[in-house]
Amino acid sequence: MPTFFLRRLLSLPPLLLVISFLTFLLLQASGGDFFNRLEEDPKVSQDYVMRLRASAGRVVPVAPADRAEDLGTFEVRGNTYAFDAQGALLRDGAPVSPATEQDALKRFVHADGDQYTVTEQGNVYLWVGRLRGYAAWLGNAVTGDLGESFQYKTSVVSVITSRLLNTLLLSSVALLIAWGLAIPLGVWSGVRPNSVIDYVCGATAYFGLSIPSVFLALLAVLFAYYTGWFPIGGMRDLVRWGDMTGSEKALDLAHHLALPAAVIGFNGLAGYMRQMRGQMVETMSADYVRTARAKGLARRSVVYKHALRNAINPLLTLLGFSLAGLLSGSFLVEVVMNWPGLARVVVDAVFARDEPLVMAAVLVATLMLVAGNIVADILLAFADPRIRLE
Amino acid sequence: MSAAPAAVRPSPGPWRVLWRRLLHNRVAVTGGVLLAILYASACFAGFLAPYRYDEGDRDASRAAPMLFGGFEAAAREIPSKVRPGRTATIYERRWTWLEGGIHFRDQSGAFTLRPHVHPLTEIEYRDEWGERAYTRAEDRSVSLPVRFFVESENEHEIFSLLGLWPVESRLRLFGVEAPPGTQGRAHVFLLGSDAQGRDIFSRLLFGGQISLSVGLLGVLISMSLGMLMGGISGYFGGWIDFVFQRLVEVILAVPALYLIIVIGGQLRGMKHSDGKPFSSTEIYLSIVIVLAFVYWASISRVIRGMVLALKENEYVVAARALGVPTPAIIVRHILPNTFSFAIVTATLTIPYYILGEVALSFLGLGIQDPEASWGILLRDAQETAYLVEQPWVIAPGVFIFIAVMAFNFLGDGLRDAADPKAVIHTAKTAGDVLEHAEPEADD
Repeated sequence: MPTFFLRRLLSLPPLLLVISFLTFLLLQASGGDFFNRLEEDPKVSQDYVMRLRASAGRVVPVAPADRAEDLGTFEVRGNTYAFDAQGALLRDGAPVSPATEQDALKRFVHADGDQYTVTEQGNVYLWVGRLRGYAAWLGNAVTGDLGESFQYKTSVVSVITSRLLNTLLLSSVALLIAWGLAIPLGVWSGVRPNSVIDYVCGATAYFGLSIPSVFLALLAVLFAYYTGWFPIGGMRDLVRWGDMTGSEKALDLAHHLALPAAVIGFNGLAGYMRQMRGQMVETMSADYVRTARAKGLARRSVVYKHALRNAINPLLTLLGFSLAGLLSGSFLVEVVMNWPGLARVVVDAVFARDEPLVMAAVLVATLMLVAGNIVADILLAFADPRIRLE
Repeated sequence: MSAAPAAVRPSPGPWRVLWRRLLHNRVAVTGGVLLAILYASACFAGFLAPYRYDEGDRDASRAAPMLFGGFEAAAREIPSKVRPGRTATIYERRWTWLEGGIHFRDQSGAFTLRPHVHPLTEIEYRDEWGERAYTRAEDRSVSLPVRFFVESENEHEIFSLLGLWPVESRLRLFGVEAPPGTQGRAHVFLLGSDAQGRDIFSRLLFGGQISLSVGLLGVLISMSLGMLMGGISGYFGGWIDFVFQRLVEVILAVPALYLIIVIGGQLRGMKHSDGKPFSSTEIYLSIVIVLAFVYWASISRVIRGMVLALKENEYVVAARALGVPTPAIIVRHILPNTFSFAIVTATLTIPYYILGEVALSFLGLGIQDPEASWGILLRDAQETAYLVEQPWVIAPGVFIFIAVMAFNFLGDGLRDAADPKAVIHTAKTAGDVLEHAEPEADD
């Protein structure tokens, strides 16, 4: 078991590496239109655009201490430039302001074939291709720096963290609802197969499996509007939030959480319930259950002590898979019901071509999925001794 | 013992058995019939729909769904805010269920079998502030007959199968005739109209052409790709298998919706080399390809597992010993044994393609207005303020729901019919749990 766990963990970094590289290539495929358009905007400083480019892995900053060594003395448009040990620009040996040299140094080809930019504020950037760009991104990523978001103008990590927590809150409550209802209902209808309850549950399950989450979410919005029982979308009461005490905040949050969580939970409920029922029907016809009944045990004790404990095992695996699906299941519901989670961020980032943010979101989503799968495998091994993980 | 039968009846082939079992499953037949209706209505959209998908009348925007009722203008006196002591007559639209809309009374009020509609009218009035205001409602004093098999002004496609074999005609199933004085006001909006005054029912039918065919085309591509890659991977093993399986792992590791949206977003930003944006056909094809690319991986993985087991069978060994070339072994002896799985899987995964297109278009990354698809139609419902005023814009959701449910009905039925052991399953591995999520589905 520990070896299996270790091996699965070790398979993670290469997977993330490949996925981040492919995502990087995919994002770069659109070219630099976004930055070029931004550069034409007079309100946006050149330094800022170059910093964004660096975040997206299109350029690499050259640290002040490295400038003299990397660029040496070079000639652009008849002038000879160099950097001193502190990284300040020199022209013909004398200090000069980079802002006045933009005609020559905005983007130039160095004698060694590389393209550089010296910005107005004196920052130096090297233009890189995909491989070096990715390497630079990766170098930052392993230190926990995933770049700066274009839209939010802060680090990607801080944007993702808060949104991810919101999403996890929503989907874990939804998961609780789904499992909390699925197991009793599944047991109930499994113990009485072909009863009215069973048929009602079965029909509801079919309904829940087939209704698209986006449609259900829209119906929920209409429901909230017509009844007025629930707030329409959002995560908190933006007007009164500041004046609320802690418990009021919790209540407000729960009030906002209820409807989207119920929608996501209902979508997931059906699958688990059918599985639970199937397991229960099968276990109830097993020999040991018949024996337990024959020796006169109370029905309750037969159902809960003998049948349920055996029937519930395979559902543990399903639990693992539902952990893996935590992020996907709530995606459209979050968008429709305005939940400030990861889904909204990803959609906005895709529209705004916020490359570092898209990249980080894909990686986080991947990590969640793979972690869920590992948990599923481990749960399965616990549940079923016949399965041996090598 | 009785006499031997005169002739031994040959036992029915496996496909015949499957078909017969399927026909006995009422739920599956219901699903099949629903799908037949949906696909037929999409093919004949041009004939069934009273309008073209992009034909809008701004004066008839946000009209009510006539199938269920209509808005009637109701006058109300309220105290004027500008002239104290006086009142202002304002007009409000009031919804009446099953009154107005499609009705069966002619102009004189006598019952008739021919459906009639009221023309729309706009009432201008002064509100309590003395400002000009408008209310759009039905003109209940006029009833216009709905005619069947009407001729439209221009020729249009009345039948289309993915743009192949188009049949052009001027015929439409129904339409409303506008007598003098009602021009521009006479419309038949079975499910209401959108903000641009386009008939939602017509757009739904045309949207079905895109949304429903995305599923079929996508599944066709990813099935072929999945079977080919899975077949090769499982049969040859070795480094080919290794490379293919790592590729599959990478695709499966990213949540499908994230992958679809990121790729869709990239495609949206792309242009031809000459700077022209993609045409609607190209956007449509790119959606199909994105979805097929995302979903082929899981299919290939299962096919690979099946091929791994099948290639050890005696008949494969025999074929190899006889010198049958490898491609022929894969295509003629191994893959046919995975067909029943493939058909069941295809039926059960088509909903994912439909929902994938809906997600993309709903978020604005897929089909673009004025083209119609169920996703882009549902996009109208995204804005809460608009949704609560015009709740009928949710109609596409009902169609998506019906399509998904019908595919689930049919797919479950097919699975039960194809697998004689499907009555009760014991889930032993994680894969089993997922593959047989509904072990009891058998009546």
